[in-house]
Amino acid sequence: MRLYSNLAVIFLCGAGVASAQDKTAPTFTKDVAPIVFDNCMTCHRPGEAAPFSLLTFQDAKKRGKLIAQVTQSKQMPPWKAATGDVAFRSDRRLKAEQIAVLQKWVAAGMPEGDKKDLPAAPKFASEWALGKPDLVVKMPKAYRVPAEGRDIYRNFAISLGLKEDKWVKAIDFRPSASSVVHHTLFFLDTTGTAAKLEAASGQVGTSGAMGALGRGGKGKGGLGALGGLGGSSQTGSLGGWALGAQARTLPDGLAYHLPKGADLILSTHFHPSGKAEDEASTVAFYFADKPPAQRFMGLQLPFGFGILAGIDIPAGKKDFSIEDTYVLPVDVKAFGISAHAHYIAKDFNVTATLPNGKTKTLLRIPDWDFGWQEQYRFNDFLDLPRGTKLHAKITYDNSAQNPRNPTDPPRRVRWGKQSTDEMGSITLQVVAAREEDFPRLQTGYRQHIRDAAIRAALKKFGKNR
Amino acid sequence: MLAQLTRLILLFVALQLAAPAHGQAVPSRQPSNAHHERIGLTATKVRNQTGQREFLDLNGRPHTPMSQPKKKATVLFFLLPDCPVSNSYAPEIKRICKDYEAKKVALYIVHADPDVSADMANKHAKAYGLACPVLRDPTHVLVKATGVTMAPEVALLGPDGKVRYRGRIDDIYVDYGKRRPAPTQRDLRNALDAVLLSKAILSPTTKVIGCYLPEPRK
Repeated sequence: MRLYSNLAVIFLCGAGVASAQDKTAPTFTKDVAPIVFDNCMTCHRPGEAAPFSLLTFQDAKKRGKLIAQVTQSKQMPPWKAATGDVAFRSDRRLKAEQIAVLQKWVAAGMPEGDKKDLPAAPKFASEWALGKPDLVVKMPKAYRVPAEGRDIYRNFAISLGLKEDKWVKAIDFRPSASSVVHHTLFFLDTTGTAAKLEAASGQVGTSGAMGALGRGGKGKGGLGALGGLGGSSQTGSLGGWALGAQARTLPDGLAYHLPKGADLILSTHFHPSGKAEDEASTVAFYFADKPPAQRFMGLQLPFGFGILAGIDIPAGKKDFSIEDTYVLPVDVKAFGISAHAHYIAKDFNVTATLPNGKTKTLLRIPDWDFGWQEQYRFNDFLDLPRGTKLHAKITYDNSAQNPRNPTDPPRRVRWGKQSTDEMGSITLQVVAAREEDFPRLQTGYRQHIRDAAIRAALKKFGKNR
Repeated sequence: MLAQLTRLILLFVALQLAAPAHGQAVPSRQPSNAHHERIGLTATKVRNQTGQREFLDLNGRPHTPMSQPKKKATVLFFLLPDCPVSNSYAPEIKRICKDYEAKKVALYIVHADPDVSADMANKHAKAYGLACPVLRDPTHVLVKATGVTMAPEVALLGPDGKVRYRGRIDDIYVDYGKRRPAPTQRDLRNALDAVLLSKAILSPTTKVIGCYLPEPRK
């Protein structure tokens, strides 16, 4: 009897709320569909990476509670960067009003609304978002991802068969098993080493993250490994693709240099999905008609993914950080930024202190997730005059309280390529404000690396004595 | 309203017709009122549907998952084929089924999404290699009887049909998209071992990270 009276109260309250909200409650067709169409559908549609589609009222209603929950907690749409002082292009975050609309809609029982209010659904290019590519290559053999286990990092060499140098303005990527491919990074190998290693192993791909480290463009002053994840027009890195990312053309006619004879290396991160999957990725290249008027490079802080930054994190240490500071030798314009570390990194903070003393936050990632290797692109070119002090700080949590810690109990962690080792760096993509200053930018950054190497050597030498 | 009433009457008639055919073959189908009070079901409608209600697995074999006096325990795995968290558990579910079927535990996969057809459930079981019986619960009879809300959520019933444990399989997921390299608590296995040894379950309910079960078919 008590149960029934409780139920009656609930029903009465429910009825009261519903009737009060009927007029003001958001409806799917009028209020929710525009949010879902613009922010969810890119991935939540058939053939894309998201696990279910959000195309219709029925789709959204079925997932309403989950949508309300993960948008409020900001786990969706995925976007790890906090608001800094520079706006990012394609910022996927919902506005507070949009999150509130979704909350209200679900609380009101997810009304459909008037069908006439429904906006037209966005149209997506059937295959490649940027149109017909100039070159399409595919992994010659599929790689089998097992049903379960830890994340996998694997490098695949694909011959591009180019007889002449090309300039690449955009790259797009299609996984064949989208449920297991999390992200991939594009590298070039002009030495054929990766392909030889793979052939010798008799397996599909070679293991390890960052496989192309140190295998960059030949004859480029050893900068091959230094392009960082954002890529550079001069080195072996061509950026990457991550879940949720849309292919974009480099700004202002910029292009990656693609030397003839180079192999493409896909450095891919897999998440086992519960059943074995075969992945044979397809990559599309868009070439520029002519060489770009400007070169660009990645300023990686600290250099070499932190190889000389003294990453040596005691077991159980909660706050361990590395830092790097670099003063710009010439005026530059920055257009993109990315971050890289493994599992136990917690926080990235990148600032630029201008000659006038003002400090701008270029990138802040307060809850680093190895799974989301985003390549952030600034909305506009950001002017950073000569004398600007760039500062990067990366903080790690090697305690047992960090659920992402890959070792239990925690152990001492040092720099290394395995995902249980650590790395840490950010890469700021820049052009020289005046192209004639570009060589000075390169020389200046190389000097920065040399200084870091000397400091590291002195430290080691001092310790040994 | 009329349509619903008609459906209820049809269901009632169907149950009556079905009863003598299976009554002797499946002795567990004699639920007493006491049994339902034990699992906390007081609403008449549910009482008529659980216990007495048989679920056919994908091979057409009847099961009475809420009443298994010959088993030491019953486990219901509520899954959603398009929930990645749910799917990622398939290998562990497979192992749990294998490990505990041998210990006289009845284990079932339950699809509570009314949009999942028998064909889809079959394909899903094949793709993920799930060997234990697969049941469909489009009207949420089992969902309501056990109180689950998510996938992959499990309900562990004792031989008396009482829900002894409800929640996650283990703690490998800390949050959406935040996964440990390996679980530190294997909650379902711990609960099963406790039931098999007639010991108390330390955490009878746990929070599930996963996907909400969709609404039942009306």
